[in-house]
Amino acid sequence: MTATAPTVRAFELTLRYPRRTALDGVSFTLHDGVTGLLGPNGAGKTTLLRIVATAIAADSGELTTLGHDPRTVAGRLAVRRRLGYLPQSPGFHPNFTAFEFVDYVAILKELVPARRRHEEVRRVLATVGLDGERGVKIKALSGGMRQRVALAAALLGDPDLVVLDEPTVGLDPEQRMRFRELVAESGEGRTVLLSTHQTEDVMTVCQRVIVLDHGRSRFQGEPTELAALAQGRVWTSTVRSPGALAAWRTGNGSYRNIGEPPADAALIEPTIEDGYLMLIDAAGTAKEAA
Amino acid sequence: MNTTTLTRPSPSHAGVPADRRHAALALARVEGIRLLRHPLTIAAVLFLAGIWVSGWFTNEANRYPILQDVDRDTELGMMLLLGGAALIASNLAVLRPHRTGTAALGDVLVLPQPLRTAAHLLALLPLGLLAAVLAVARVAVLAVAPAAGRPNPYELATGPVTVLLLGALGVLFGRLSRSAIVAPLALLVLLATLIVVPLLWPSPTAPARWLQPVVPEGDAAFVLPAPVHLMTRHAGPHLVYLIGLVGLVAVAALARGGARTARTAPAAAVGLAVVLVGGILQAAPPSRSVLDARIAAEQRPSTQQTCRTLSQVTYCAFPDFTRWIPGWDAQVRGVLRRVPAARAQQPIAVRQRIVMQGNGSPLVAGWTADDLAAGTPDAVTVDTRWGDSRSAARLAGFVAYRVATGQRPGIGPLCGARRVTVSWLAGQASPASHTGLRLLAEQQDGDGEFGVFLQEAASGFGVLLPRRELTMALALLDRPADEVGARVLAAWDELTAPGTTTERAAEILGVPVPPASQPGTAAPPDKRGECP
Repeated sequence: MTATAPTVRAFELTLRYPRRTALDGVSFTLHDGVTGLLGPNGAGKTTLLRIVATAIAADSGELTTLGHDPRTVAGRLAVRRRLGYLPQSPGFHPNFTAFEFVDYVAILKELVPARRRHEEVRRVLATVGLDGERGVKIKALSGGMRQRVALAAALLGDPDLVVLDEPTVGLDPEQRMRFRELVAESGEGRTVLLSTHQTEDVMTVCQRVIVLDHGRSRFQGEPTELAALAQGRVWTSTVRSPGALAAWRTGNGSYRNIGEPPADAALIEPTIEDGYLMLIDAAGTAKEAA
Repeated sequence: MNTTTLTRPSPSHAGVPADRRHAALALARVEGIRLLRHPLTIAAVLFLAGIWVSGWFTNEANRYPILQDVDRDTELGMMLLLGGAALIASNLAVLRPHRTGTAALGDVLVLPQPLRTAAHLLALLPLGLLAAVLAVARVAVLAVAPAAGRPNPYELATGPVTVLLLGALGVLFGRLSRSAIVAPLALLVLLATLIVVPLLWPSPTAPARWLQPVVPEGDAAFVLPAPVHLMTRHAGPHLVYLIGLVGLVAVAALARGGARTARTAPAAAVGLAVVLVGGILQAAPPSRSVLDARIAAEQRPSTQQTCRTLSQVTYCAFPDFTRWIPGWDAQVRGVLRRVPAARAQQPIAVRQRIVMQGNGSPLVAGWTADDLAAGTPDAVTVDTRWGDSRSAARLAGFVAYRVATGQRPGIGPLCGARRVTVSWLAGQASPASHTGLRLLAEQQDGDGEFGVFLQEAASGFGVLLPRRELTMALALLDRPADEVGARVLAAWDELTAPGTTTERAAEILGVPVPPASQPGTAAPPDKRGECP
C-alpha cells in the first residue's frame, strides 16, 4: 500500500435497479498501479466501473475521484479530463480510420489545438503498436487491433485514472498476452482499474484485486493474498470429493477440489483462481444455508 | 510478437490545454468534412449537376436563359437532393454513437452534449456553402450564354438555406429519436406536402403556399416569363422566414441536446419573431406601383423598353432582355434576305410584349396605338421566350407576315398565296425556324387538320398557317432555298397580293396543291375575319 493520497476513495457505494441491487455498500480505495476487479456475471463490476468513470451516479455513498466529487457538474468534468475509459464491448465507427476514431475521441476530450492533438493521437497509437495501421479503416482491423484502438483512445491525454471494463474478452491468447502487457505498462505511474473474468489477467498485471459478488465486496488485497485464502484447502483426488465447495476434473484425469479437505487429502499449492472460487462458492453456500 | 514500451508523454503532451470552444469547432470541422464526403451528399451533387448539364443539352431554351427564373429553378432540386442528403446524413451523424455502440464512451468524454449538438449544426455550414456555390455556379454558367435578366440573390440563397433547414432538422430528429428511419420518413412527408399543398392552394401567390420551404412556380400574373421589375415573388421575406425556421430548429435541437433554457429561450423567441415577420411579409399583396407597372408593361410596353436599331430594323425590349436582340436579328435577317430589296429596306420594328393572365381582345388595339405613339408602327411581336426553335419560327413568321402584308399580325386575315409565302419565309429564315415550324406542325396539328397557329405572346392572337398552305411550304422547304427564293422574288408582288389564290401560288412556285379542307372542318379561331 502506498502512502500517497488515493486516486479513488469510495465509501458505502450503493446503487439499486428496480429489480435488484447492483451495488450494496461497496467501499474501497485505489492507488497508482493496476487493480483488478473480479467477480461473476451480475456481480456489479460494470456498474461500479461506470460509477467510477462518471457515467452514472450511485444512489448513496461517497465517492472522491482524483480529489473531486463526481456528483457535481464541475467535479464530474474535472474527473473526465483526467480519465481514460474503455467500456465493455466498446463500439467503433467502422468507416473511420484508426487515426480518425482516436482523433474524434480526442476532440471530445477537448484536446486542442489540432497540431498537438494529432501528435497526441499518433503517440497513443504508437503506444499500443498501431503506428502502421493509423490509416486503416476500423472495419478492416482484427478484434485485437480494435481493442488496442480502444485502449489508445483511453490513454489519450495521459489520464491519471484508466478504467478498463473486460478489455480482454474475445481476444485470442496471443492478443490477450499482448494486451496484458500494454495494461501493465499503462499502470506505471497512474491508476488503472481493470474489470475481468480472467484470474490470469489479475495474476499477471494487477498489484491489487477487489472481488465483487452480488454487489458486495468480498475481498480486497493483493493477488497472492487472494490465492492464500485457499491455502490448505485445495487437494487432488481420483474422484470428486463430496464435501468440496467446488471440484473439477483436470486434464490428467484427477479431480481438483476446494473446500475443507479430508484427513488423507493430497494438498497442493493454491492459485488465485482457487482463492477466488473458494470465496465465491463459500459465499454462495453460506447464502444457500441462510 | 512486437513489444511496445508504453512511455509517459512528455510534459508538452500532458494535459493538452482544453479550450471548449475550439474543441466544438474542431468537432464541427470533422463532422462538416464527413458530411461533405458522405455518399448521399456526393450522389446528390452528382445528380443535381447531371440534371443541370443534361438540361443544357436537352432544353434549347437554356441557350437563352432568363436568370430571374433560373435562380428559382435551382431551389426545388437543391432542397430535395442536397437538402435530403443533409437531412439524412446529419441525422446519421448525430445518431452515430448509438448506431455504433460508442455512446458508453462518449458519455464520459468532456465536451458537453449541447456543444456537440452545436458542432453538428455548425457542420452544416460547409454543406450550405457548397449549395450556394453550386447555385451561383449554375447561374454563372448560364449567364455566359446570352442570358436575360438578373438573378435575385434572395432566390439564389433560398436553396442553400433549405439545405441548412433540412440539415438542422436532421440534427433535431437525432436528438428526439434514436431511430434512423425518422429522417427518411420526414423527407417523404416533405415530398408529400410539395404535392398536396399546390393541389389545395393552386395559386402560387396563396399565402399557404409560402409556408413551404420553396415555391417553385413563377409569377402567376403572367402567362410567360416576366421582366424583373414586374415580379412580385417575396423572395426576401421568404428567405427571412426560412432563416427564422433554421434558427428555431437549431434552438430546438440545442434544447434537446441539453442546452440551458436560460440561453435557448431568448434565442427561440428571436427565431420565432423572425419567422413571424418573414411569414407576414411574404404574404403581403403586390404593391400598387408594381401592379400599375404591370398594366403599363402589357398595354404600353414602349414606356418601359429600350430600343436599338440594327440597319433598318428597330428592336425594342424590356431592359432585362436586350441581350437577345442579336438572336432576334438573325431570324429577321433570314426573312428579309428573301424579299425584294425595296421591301427589305423599309423600316420595320420588333417589339417585345407580355400578356397578363386572362387578357384578350382589347390588347391588340392598345398595342397598335402604343406602336404609333412610339414611332414604331405595326411592330412585330416577340415575347419573353427565346432560344428554342418554336420561338424562332414564331418571330420569323410574324416578320414574314409583316413584310408580306405591310401590317402587323392581328389586323386582318391571311389568305391564299400569302399563306404559302409567309409559311415558306418563316421556315427558311434559319435552321432553327425550319425545325420550329415542323415541330409546331407536329405538336399543334397532330391529326393534320388545322395547320399552325403562331400566337403573339400567348395573347390568343397571331397568324394562322392552315394545313393546306403549310404543306406546300414544307414541301418547298425541302427544295434548295435559293431556287425557291428566286421564284419568290420574281413573283413577289403576285404572291403577296391579297387576291392571289393558293392554286396560283402553287403554279408560280411549282409545288403540288393538297386538297382543300372538307367543309365543316374545325379550325382555331382566327379572330380576324374570313378569307374570301
